[in-house]
Amino acid sequence: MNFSLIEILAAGSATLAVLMCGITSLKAQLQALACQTALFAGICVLVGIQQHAEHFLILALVIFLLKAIGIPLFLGWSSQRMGIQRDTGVTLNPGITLMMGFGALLAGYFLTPQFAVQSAGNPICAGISLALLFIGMLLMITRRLAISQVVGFLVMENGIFLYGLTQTHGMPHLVEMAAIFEVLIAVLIAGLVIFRINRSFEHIDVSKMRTLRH
Amino acid sequence: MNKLLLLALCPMIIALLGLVPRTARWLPKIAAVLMIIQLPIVGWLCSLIAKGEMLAYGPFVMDGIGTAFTVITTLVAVTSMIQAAMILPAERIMENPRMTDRRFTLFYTLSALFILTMYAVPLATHLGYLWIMIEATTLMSAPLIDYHRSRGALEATWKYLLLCSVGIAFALFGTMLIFASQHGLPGGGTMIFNHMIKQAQAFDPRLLRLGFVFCLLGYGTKAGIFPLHNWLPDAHSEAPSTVSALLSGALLNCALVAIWRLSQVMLASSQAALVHQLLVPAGAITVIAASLMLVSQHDLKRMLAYSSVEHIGLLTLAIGIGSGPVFILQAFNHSIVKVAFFLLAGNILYLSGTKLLSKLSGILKTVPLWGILLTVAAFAIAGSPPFGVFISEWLLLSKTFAAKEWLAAIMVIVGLTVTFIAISTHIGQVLFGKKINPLRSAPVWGWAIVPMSLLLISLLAGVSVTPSVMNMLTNLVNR
Amino acid sequence: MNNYLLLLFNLINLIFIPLLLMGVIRKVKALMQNRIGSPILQPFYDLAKFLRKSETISQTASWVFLWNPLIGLGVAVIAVLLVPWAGPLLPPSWAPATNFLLIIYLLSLGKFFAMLSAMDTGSAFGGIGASREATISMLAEPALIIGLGALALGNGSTDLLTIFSNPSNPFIAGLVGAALVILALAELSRIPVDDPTTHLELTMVHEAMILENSGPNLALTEYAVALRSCLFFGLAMQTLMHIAPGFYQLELFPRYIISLAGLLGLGALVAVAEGVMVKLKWRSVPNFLAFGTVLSLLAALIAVWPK
Repeated sequence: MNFSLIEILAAGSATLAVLMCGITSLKAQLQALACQTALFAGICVLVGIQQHAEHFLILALVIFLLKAIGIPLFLGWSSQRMGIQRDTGVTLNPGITLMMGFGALLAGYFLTPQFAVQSAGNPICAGISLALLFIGMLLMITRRLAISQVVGFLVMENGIFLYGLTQTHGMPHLVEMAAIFEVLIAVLIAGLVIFRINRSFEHIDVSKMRTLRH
Repeated sequence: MNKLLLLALCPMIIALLGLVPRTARWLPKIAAVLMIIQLPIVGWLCSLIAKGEMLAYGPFVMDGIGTAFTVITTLVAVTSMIQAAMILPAERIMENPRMTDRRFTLFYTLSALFILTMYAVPLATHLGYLWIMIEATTLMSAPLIDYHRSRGALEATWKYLLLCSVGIAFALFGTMLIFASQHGLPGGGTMIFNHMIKQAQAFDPRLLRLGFVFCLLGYGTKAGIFPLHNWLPDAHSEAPSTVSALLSGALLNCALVAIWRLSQVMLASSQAALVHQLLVPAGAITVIAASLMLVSQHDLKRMLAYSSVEHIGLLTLAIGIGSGPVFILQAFNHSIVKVAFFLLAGNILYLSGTKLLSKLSGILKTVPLWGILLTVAAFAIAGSPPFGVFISEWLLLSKTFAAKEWLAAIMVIVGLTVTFIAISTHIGQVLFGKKINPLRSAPVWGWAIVPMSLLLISLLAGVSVTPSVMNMLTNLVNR
Repeated sequence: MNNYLLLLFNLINLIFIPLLLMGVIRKVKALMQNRIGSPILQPFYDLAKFLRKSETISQTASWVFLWNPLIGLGVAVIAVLLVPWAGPLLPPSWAPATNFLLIIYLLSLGKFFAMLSAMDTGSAFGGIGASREATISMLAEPALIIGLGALALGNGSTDLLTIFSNPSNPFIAGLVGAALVILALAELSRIPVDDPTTHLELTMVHEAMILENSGPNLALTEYAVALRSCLFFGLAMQTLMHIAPGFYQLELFPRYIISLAGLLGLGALVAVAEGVMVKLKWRSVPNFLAFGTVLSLLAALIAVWPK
């Protein structure tokens, strides 16, 4: 099996994402998210070297600083202020969620031919990005705490950016940078809203916020 | 200076003023005045367009659809801001005396930025910038919903933020898929719509289809197509009425403009049938589902939100059968009447302190003027002649029949009928019955002027749709 | 000459290393707890002491209880000799005997008799221990089979001797190694699955099964546990060492020394972990084992990936 270095890093990213499905402590989840995003920044650097474009290196730096270090720190600080780091907050048994995460990886593997762009190389990355998308959605569905849902959303965004990086050539870099910044702003606003929710409800358990019915 | 930037002038001034908490006393009135100034600016820009001039600023170009939706957004924004200048200070004194000046003025900053991003969406001719602007609308509007800081508002804000962000992430994936489908093109890929339309035949069909589906899922979540509409009733009912008006009247249109642009690209490509196959059933099902859910409503603003969902279904159907003029006309009529209805609902909410239909009754006796306007608005939104909504729904149905979409047309007819009955029943419950004691007093005529004028505009729009108007719209779409 | 060397190494493996490993683990754990602890060779002294003592056997026990330590020991001895957990210490013609399925089923046989004997004494704690042990092995066996199967797929042969004499994909090796560490902790009833030093019967899993043994039976049982520890930890360490590309080409003697050092190092790490972590709540044990299963599945996915 010759895997290029990009595919190795992507596979590591996917492994971390699958394992994240079974991690219940918020602190460990944030650490896993940070590692996964750091791997993804590495992929960005490699793509930049491959395509001889400097803006990918700047993008990789931005991703590393903001998404791999900044956001986990911010979310960790928020959760510490709210005092919820011990709460597990899962709706589904973590063991079963792990199996479903692996199933998502399998789904990505089987759907790769549909999504891969052959001429861009790294066809495995298309399947892995799909798997990250599914795992992100799985995390959002099976977690009760609002912050864990944000973590799932970030995993999803990682998958989408992975697809854009590896399968497309010549994506306007302003769009990618703006997308990253908007994700950052979205996380900041989400953090603010979660803080208000905690102050108002005394918890951030979304399964208990069901007052608005049909 | 670039003439298009004039569009952004007034909202930017409001945004900057809102950063200073000291302006809280007079900011609402100044904001209303500034937005009124926006009307002649937009009018002037439209006249330039009519003369054939090309207005552009980077990737933002004012083409036909852009002009139409700029006008609609301006009308919505102006009326919302005027009504806000009247209601918000009174509401703040009565209901939220602990609201700080800073929160109040920041509300205006965010509203102005929100309006600015809603201007930018129809003007974006670049797929990437379209996505960025729609994401920006989500981010700017999420804190607005949370104005009252109640539990329901927080829950609605969280649902809105999460679901719309997920949807927009899907749309990003779809955008990347569409870009990736251009891998075979000699000059590399492009994201500018006009160029994409010219080269659409050469796109990779498999990736293009997948991209369109994902974009539809994403922008459809933002627009409120069934079954991705879950956030809509919560967000639109928990937000203050001016924000609800902005959301229903302008934001949903933005998401639909995105779907329209994509459908244009798809129609020019080899996968044109997909647009028809996906959007027509989606629209029809949304209409039926929304109308069924309208029946069991017990909250006034939630009922209006479901009515918005239904009109989104109609607009999606219009895009699906590929008729631009009907799309613009229906969007215009819906926005006008929906804004009027939401503002009236806001008035009633302030007056009686509740929006539950079971607790509201006898409005016709309490405040006759508002009761009459409510009746008129109810008839207008349900699609009765001579209001504008009737004409556009009629045109939509005739085009649907002409396109031989029997099932969709029948579903729409059933849906509209159910809606008419449901809205009439609910509004009737509000109008008639035992007179309730109003919680506080409000200037009856002052707060009724804006909805009244909007309903008059709708009436005018209803009677003045002539073939020349339709020709004008068709030319507009094809610019 | 080579065969004599192999015989020597195997004898050392059989007699000296298992109890040394247990001694090292105990010593490091004591150091973690800021005690001096017993000397490293204490397990040898303990074994000698047990052999001298007399036995107390429950009146309801049958031949299963009496034969269990012998069967367990026999199975463990065969497994320790066959599995190349310290490098390939068997002549290549022995390869078909080292089939991983054979090893797994042998170990299951031992476990089967252990569970039966635990219930044979008629004590309630034996029943608890046996049922918990059955649950753990039900969750751990698939992971073990899939993990070793992934290794086998990667190398094209199901014989462990051949697998460890050939190069293997570093990722498969890494993932299977990590899975094997988790599974080793489960099979050997160490923290976080089970606390081997607990005296509270309701928290026991493995200890509850061997609670009733005494005297020479206890000696044999303890020795079997030591042998199985060597086996699992050694196997995990070998797999992890196969991440290094040139490892399979090492000469016999250096490889043996490095493997032993790795084994003792892993034992020390396990002891450190035991000092730091706590035993998991019983309801959370399946979730912990699910990690091992997923790691094995990931390795299997890489192994079946089309080239």
